[in-house]
Amino acid sequence: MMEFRREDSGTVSAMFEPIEVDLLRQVTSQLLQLLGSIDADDTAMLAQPAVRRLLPDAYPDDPEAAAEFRRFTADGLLEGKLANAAAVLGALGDDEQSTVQTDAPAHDPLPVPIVLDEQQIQSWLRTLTDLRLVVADRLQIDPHGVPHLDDEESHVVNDIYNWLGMVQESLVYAIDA
Amino acid sequence: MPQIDESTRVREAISLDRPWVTVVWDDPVNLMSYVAYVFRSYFGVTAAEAERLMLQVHNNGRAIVATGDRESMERHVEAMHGYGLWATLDKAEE
Repeated sequence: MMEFRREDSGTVSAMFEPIEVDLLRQVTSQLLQLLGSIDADDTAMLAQPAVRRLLPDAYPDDPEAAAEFRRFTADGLLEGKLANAAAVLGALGDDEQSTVQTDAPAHDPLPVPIVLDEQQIQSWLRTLTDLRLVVADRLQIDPHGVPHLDDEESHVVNDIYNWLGMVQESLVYAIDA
Repeated sequence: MPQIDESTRVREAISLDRPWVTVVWDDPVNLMSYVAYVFRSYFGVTAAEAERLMLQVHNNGRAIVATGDRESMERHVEAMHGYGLWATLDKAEE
């Protein structure tokens, strides 16, 4: 991926490799599924660490006040997170290109330009955060940032986690510039 | 209805007594650059102040990013959760 850059029109843009577009599309689709499955009234579900991190306790020492806060805010927060993830998928375009590559490719597929307006930037920043929060849970990242997941997937998951952070940092720097 | 009014009145009475604070906690996931960006864009503080708050979160484990009545602090905490930051509210220390 090439770094995001601010355009004169106010948008930011970056070139993504097709494989990166596919990856982001895949993890964002999974996030959408997770968000869509969360029932804010289901206490057992809210106790799951990943869900807990997406909808943290506002009152850590007062379960009653925390539950009340969640009653008033969880649906709206989930709606926002869902809309953001959907906006990310929208900016990635449809996946026709990636599904056609069944034959052996004769040449490398071309990088894909990703252009984001002001509103899409906000959706991307937030969704990249939500993705990292969920992946961090999968990686069993401890309070010092050290992952403890140790299975055949841990390297791949760790690479995805770091890549998502790189994309987000690049986006933050681009809008800061 | 009366119950809601009652609890609102109680809250206001409490909030006059002692203000509430919005606390943002350090977490190993969120990038320092992003946290500073959130403080700057949401609270409208200068880049230097956002950096100072972010470093306070990072180094001390938490920072008070806003003080005021309970409802405003709940609004801030909700906004922080929207950004994916780990925020809570609490009564201000006496």
